[in-house]
Amino acid sequence: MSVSSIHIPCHGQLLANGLKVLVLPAPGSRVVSVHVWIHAGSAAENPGKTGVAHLLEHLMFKGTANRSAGEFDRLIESKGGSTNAATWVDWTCYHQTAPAGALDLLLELEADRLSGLAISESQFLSELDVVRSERRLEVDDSPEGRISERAASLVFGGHPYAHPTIGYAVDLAGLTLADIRDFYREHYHPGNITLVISGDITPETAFPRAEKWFGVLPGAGGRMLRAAVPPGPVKPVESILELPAEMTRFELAWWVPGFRDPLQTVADVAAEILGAGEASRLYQTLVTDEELLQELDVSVTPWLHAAVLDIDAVVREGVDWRAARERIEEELRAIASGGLREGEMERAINRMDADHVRSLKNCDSRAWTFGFFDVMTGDPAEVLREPEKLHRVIAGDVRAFVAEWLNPGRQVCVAGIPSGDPGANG
Amino acid sequence: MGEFRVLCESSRGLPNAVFQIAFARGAADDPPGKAGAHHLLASLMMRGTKKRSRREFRLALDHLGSTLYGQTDYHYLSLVGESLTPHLEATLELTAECLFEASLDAGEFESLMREAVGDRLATRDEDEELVVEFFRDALFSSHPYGRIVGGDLHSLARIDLEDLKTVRDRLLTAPLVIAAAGGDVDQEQWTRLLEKYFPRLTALNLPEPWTMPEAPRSGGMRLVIVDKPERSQTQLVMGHLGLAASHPDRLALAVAINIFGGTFTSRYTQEIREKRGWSYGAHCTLSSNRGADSLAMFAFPQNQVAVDAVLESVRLYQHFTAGGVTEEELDFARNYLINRYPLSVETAEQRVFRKGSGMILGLPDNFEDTYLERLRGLELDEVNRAVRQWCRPGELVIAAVGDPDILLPIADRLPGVVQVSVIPFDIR
Repeated sequence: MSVSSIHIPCHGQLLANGLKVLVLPAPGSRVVSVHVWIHAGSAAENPGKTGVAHLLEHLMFKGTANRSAGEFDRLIESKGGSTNAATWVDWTCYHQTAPAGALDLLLELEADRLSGLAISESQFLSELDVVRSERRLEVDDSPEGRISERAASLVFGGHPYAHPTIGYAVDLAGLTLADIRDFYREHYHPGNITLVISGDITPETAFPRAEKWFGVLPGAGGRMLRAAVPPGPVKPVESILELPAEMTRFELAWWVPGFRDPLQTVADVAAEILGAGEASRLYQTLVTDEELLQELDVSVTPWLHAAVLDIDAVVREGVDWRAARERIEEELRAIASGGLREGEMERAINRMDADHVRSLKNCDSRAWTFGFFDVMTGDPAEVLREPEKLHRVIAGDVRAFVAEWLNPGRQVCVAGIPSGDPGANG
Repeated sequence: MGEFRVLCESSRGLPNAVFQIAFARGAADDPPGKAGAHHLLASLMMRGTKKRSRREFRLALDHLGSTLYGQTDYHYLSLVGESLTPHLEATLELTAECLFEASLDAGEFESLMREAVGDRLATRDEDEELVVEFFRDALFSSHPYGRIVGGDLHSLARIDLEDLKTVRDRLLTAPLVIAAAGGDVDQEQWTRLLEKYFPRLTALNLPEPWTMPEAPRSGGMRLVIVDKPERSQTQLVMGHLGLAASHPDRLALAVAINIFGGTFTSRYTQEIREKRGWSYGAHCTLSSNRGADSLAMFAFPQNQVAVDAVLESVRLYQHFTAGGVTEEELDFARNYLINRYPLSVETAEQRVFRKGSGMILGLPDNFEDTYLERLRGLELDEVNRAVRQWCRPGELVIAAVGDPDILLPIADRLPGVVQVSVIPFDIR
């Protein structure tokens, strides 16, 4: 079996209230994953109310009109299930996995909290503290978190993609239960939801159950796409943060086209060539050969309307971070003018093919991958067309992409310098 | 003779396979004063062979779309790989090449050591890692489990290339080698590939007894403050010695700890996170190892409530130890663990790696097969006896990364603390 010939049946049905259901049978797996994708994330937040989508995600595990606080988790645990959720700019996803016999319970619980969430003021305040703790862990006490937050704000300016999904500390302090209820009312309705059921089930058994539990949710409008394509930076930006840290770090970030644009596949290939694995261009040069960097990571955010290609670097002790930055830019110029080296394309495509297979490994990862593609493209079958799209990219595409999109005139650079390091500002 | 164990779990759904060649020798076997030697060897083996430079080796792997990395823990060093099915054989050939024909080049060794030192410095920016390192150091002292698997600045400075060559030679005579594969491969194919590329392993194994000294017990609570101001919250680990994976009371204690802090609805998580909102993460874990590892609570409260969080954590643990668990709690936990078992063995990869881990931990061959039966047979008395015997709040080591000015009052407010240390965060 080749990567491009992988076939995973995906059955779809649209309920009368506008909710989309996907069923991915995996006979014999003995487990079932239920994912509920809300087509709204932090980009749907209003100014001054950042963090509300993520806080609501936390609060969805509290009580409903029918069930007391803690009952949701307890019922799922009683069946041996695991439960979690995630929020990013374009979506919020609730995902549960349990033995296949627990399907009805998972569906019932999900439908219940989508229609009857009931949060008390004390639950709201306690969970707000939990989210503040999460923010301190991920951002305030994390050098990478601080740098990344600043970079996104500079790349996207006043656009909703500019603010962190976890929310600014000052906004979190001002959130109210009414803000949560408003977001829930506005975005958690059937026309804005994709339900994915993946596992030891058949379409014949899964669809009627989805209809039973989710078909009764009152419909209220369609999908809301509030975040328009953001403008990218028109000139280079540099920002330096002094941080209580041992190592100097920096991030180079560029605005690049969003998920539905064919160029994002090219951006993914470029990122792979630049920084994925020890044999990648930048890792080989800056980490292995010249020992300018301690760590290097290159990634593209899979966002709908526009994305960021990030190069995150941790600088070796005693190295001038600006010299490392200049060396990265040199390599980008070399690609823009001279193209790729022999074998770089093949290497990247092979690695990405393997990643594609990995993303389909179990019921939970399949539910995640197909649900994500449905949210981002409207067509979950796009998942299985990914290898074909990938193999259409040629070296000239990557060269042109680097020349046009990763040039210094569009670059945002944020450096985090250890406090009190007199030489680090360069 | 040493043992060579072949494990395979087939699943033909996707065109890929994972594998692990694990040697039962790891950081606990590092030469005296040279913590990190096995971990470094795992990296150096992939930095060039007699046939290929480091870059050529990596490119060869990437061209196959395969992954291969070295993984080290206290009792094993393993090479873990994954590849698309058509490239499995070529990936195994590369694996055998780095195992048997690694060049262990002096230049690459120097480069690796510089990188390892850099990694240590970078760890100083990771409070969650730091607190675990200092907790283990205080709990296990000079016992092998107190080492950092990757080594610290002092041990790294003592390691030379000859040490790694010695470690490599000894690795190939490890008392147990496990060759596990899962996915789009069957037992016959896997055995044929092993015979073709790893024929030397069985011949080289020599008998060698495993010995693991007991870590010392503590005579009271100890407070270890890792001095790192300018943080908005405090990283906490509070624990004491646990039980070896093969200990007869292990399952009973593990179920008890699951009740206390192992799930979202557990007592500790409910009290610290849900009721008080003090910490995004709050859980308790009984770590699994060949010897007795740790039993520990983890949380990261904001500074203003850090002292209260420590006091409350200790109080909850004392209360749990004194009262044990209820029949209702045991029923719930037992059902949870039995019901969730299919999730742990859904893929061939999960199944085969679970079996391999059990062997490394010295568990009996039928451990996995009897797991559910043993769970079903657990009695309340058995669980509470394990709690009374093995949960020892009076011996807690409380490690905290944060501001000493904020944390020192713990010593005054918590009866039973017999020792307080304040340690700079950048000494290891």
